Amino acid sequence: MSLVVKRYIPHAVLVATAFFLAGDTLLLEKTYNDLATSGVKAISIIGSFAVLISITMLSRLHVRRIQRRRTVIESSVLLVCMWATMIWGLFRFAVQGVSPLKEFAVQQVFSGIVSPGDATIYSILAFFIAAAAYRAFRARSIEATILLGSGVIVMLGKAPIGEMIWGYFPVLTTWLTDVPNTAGVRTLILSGIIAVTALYVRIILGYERGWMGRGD
Amino acid sequence: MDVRYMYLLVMIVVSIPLLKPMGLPLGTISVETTRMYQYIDKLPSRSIIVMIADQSPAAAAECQPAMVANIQHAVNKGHRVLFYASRTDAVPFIDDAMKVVLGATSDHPNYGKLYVNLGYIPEGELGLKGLAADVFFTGRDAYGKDLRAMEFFRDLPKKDASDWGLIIYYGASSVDWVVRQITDVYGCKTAGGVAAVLVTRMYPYYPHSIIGFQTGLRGAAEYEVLVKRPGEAAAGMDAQSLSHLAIVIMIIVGNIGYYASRRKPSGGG
Amino acid sequence: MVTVETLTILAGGAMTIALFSYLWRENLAFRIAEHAYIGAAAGYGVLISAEAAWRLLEPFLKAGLWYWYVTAVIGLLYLFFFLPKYFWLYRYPTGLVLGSGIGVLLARALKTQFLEQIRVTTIVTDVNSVLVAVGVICSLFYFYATMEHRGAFRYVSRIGICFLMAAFGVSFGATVMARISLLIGRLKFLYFTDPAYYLIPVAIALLIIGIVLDRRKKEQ
Repeated sequence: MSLVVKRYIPHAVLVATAFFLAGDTLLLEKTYNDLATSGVKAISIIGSFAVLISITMLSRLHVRRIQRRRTVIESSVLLVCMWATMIWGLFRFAVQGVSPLKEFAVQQVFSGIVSPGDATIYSILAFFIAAAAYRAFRARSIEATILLGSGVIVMLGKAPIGEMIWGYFPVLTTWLTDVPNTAGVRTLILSGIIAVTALYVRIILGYERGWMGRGD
Repeated sequence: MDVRYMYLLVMIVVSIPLLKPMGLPLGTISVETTRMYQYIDKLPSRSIIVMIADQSPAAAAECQPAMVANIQHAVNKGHRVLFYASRTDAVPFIDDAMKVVLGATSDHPNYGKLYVNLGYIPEGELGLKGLAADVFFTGRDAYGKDLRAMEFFRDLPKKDASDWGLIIYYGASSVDWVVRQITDVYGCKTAGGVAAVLVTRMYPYYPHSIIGFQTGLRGAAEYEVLVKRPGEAAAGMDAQSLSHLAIVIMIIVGNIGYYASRRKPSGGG
Repeated sequence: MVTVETLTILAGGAMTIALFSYLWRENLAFRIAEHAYIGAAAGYGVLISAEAAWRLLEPFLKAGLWYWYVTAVIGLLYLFFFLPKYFWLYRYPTGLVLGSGIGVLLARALKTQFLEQIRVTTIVTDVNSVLVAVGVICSLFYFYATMEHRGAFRYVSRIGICFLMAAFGVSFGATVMARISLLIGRLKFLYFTDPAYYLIPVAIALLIIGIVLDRRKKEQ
């Protein structure tokens, strides 16, 4: 199939969608705005299908691992959890009209596996941060000392014990968040938005084609 | 030294105040939390507060107590609350928060009059844009009930985000998109019950767009004090204090050890 | 009596302890818990996405607007990601979603995150706002890469670095606070939820057995 269908038309679709929705933000014309809201709904529906990529990729990867006798137990657990949840939940929703929010088994899977799993994986970082703070956090230069000092002040200022140790910790913390933090993060926001705008303009103009993936 | 001893130390330092609370006073309530409380307090009765649940189960430890305290405040003041989730794993937290404060979700007598849960709206910023333009964007709520039949929406003049009194974001990713699509377009101010990792990004928009926010578990504990509903957040502050102190001591000891070893004369002669 | 809710809490406790066991060393229990979480999260995500998509689509289909089925057809084009010969079909839904993100962001971000931020920085009412303005300008000088940082430029840039380092320090302190809060949440669940706390002595016993076996293996 020609490059027109494989490359230029998808690019045109991207540009047309971008301008259509940008126009909705900037123009106040009821018919146009209503059409744009319908467009937003359509794109939201289309975007929901992106999860198909993740489940297909996970299934392919882990079926291959089982076939090669690598991580058989772990991969089997993953596939069983994923497909059992999906099949049961979709059956109850599509055939019996029970929303996943109200489906008992699905909510138990969330409460018993997803929620504790997600929370615990991120909470392990607390240990790593503490260990890294002891082993690697050194005041080797003025900049590092400023970083260390402001980190220590914020940690003590935000904890009730800090105010008990020295009454000015919360005051200093407030000053640090209101002044240098605001200045620093505002700089990052300003420079970040310029970079993002440049990237998006390059995508619209066709110079950036990474989103198209592999192939011609 | 084996790093696992340090992990054990952290575990002990966090566990002891949980098992044997020390009862440390919370201290000064931060200006950001106070301003958020006062803003909600001064909203006219039956104002619409939109609560965006963007917390993953990881961020829920900090954001959920904040959400519960804010719902309690809204209930006390007679405000209307419109919930929605912008990520799939935040959906159950809306139900959980409603059950804690109201005791029920869709079966509550005031559901559909004062409280509505729209469930998950996909595509983040795009979904919020759609909801802001048309409050009936999803057509039905999270439980399948028709939104147009609900008393909640009956007296809204414009049926868009300009009818909203406040939008509160709960989560750990970013709040820029909420300010971009709601505050700057419709004038409805933003507030937050955010995880502490996000709080540094709130200050550039504070106080002109973001009127106030709760910083992690500490902010949630402060709000619980303000609404006089001590809950989960207040119970965790002792452990937070001791662990912060322990990490600060570890940093100081580590630096002392580093500089002491640098001063030692090198061997040989 | 053992109810489903009891089993769910026990599963949550087991997941928590299995994932915490990574702190001792990587082991099969951790890997099983990790894979169970990934699989269940992916499955749950699909269910919620499907329900949300149907809720948006259903009113149009009920009104007889059958052309809205095209959105589902376009969504299914995502699956061509896995077929090299027809990979280009995947670019259509991707173009739509990416284009919508670009349009929605570009129209507003330049005002909110650029012009508005500059406007607010120029509002100088007290010492702190002066310091913020100085900090922003100096930090922007630090990022200016098309000129060599020499002389006065260098000093301005160094002031900017100091502001940025202070901001990163605040971010570090906030991150520590966030992670500790997470840990507190998990430990509260383990210590105070019936019957999850019954798993704690089991976990300690398994840990001791594991340490003893490890030591014997090393000696051998």
